[in-house]
Amino acid sequence: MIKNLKNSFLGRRIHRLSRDPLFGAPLRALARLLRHDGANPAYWSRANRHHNRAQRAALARFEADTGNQS
Amino acid sequence: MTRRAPRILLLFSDDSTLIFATRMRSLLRDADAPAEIVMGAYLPETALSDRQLRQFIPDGRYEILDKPALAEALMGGRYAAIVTSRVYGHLDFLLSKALNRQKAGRARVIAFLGGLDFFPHRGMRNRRNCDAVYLFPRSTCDRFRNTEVRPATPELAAWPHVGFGHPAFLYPHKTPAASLPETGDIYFFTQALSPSTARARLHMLRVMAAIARRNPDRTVWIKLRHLPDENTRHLHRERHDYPSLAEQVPDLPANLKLTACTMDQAMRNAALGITCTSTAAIDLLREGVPTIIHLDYLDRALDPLVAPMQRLFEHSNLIRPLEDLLHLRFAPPDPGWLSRMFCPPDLGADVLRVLDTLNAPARRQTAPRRKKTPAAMQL
Repeated sequence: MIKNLKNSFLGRRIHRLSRDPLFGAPLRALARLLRHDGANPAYWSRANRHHNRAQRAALARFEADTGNQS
Repeated sequence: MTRRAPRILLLFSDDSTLIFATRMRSLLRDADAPAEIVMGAYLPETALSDRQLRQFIPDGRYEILDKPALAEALMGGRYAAIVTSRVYGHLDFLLSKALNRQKAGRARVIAFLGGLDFFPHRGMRNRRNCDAVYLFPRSTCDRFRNTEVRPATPELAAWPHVGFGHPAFLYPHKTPAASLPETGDIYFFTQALSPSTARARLHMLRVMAAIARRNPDRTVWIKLRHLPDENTRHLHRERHDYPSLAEQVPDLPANLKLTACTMDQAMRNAALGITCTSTAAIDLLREGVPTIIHLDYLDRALDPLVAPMQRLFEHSNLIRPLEDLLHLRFAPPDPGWLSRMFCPPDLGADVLRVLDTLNAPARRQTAPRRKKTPAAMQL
């Protein structure tokens, strides 16, 4: 889909605009923001946060266990 | 009268297709039939660095083909076959014309899948104009036969011919050890897309560091698919590379290291392979290396490849949760699953047999037969 957008008239216009001395910098900043991991709502979802917490806790337990062994 | 050895062109343009081409070349050379193999870089889609070319084709013996040269290779009669893992747009365009397809002396196009394809519909459609298509797992062959193959009529055989297999999916020649071998290192095989977020990759880095601390007598290698400045035009671009992320973790143990060695070099020294992705898992299994697939990394909900990966490897016995991964607990792969996924090792000979049949008009009606394979490899 993104490849199609890049090849489209609109995509080429946006790309040209991104090199504009006036509008280029804010447009590139916006693009970076949209590419950020947190731009996906699933990143903030309760289920995802719960899963991440459980995984981090499992790793922390293992690391503590390794620390106790040495 | 002796027949001339077929001249076969192997196309490549990036690291994935180059790895396919070099593997296919050695399979064709190993086949008990003469064939002249030519490597051909397709210029319009090239995305290879000096290092990658030197690593995989150190003698530098390959042809460079632009669009007209590709058309000439297909239609000019210099090659008996073009074998490729990617059906480039221009090649598909040429093959979509009936006049080109039916012309005598044209090179037969034998297309493989690029690798494990979680969403094979598009890949199958792109290959429908080829002369022979090799697919896997077996369920994908059946789907292709049902949806894309033009069925046989009283005068004409069905086409394209459907084969089973891929050079990266040869049936393992040895069974992985049931317990961790005494010697050898632990490798984490990374990939560009999964895990997808920076914090998920940092988490995997910390997991590897924890494993390294627990196993000070072994080295834990983070095997990079490519260096950060490579593959910038690759289909799968890496957004968060491990070397940069490693710089953010201050207390990495000395026995945790990064390497950009080849897969073959890594597997020679691997006691255990850990991966989140399919391609590395398959390479490890094929070489009989004990394998852990880990899909419970952070932000797995954001990764569109997790669900299809889980489906594909569901009955493989290889998917392990974090607790098992940290304690290096693994199990050998399920034999039934292996036989649905991996093809017999005589793939090169099978391709040459198919080519022979495709180029023999008198026998064109007969489907090429594969040599009988051991019962363990049958469904």
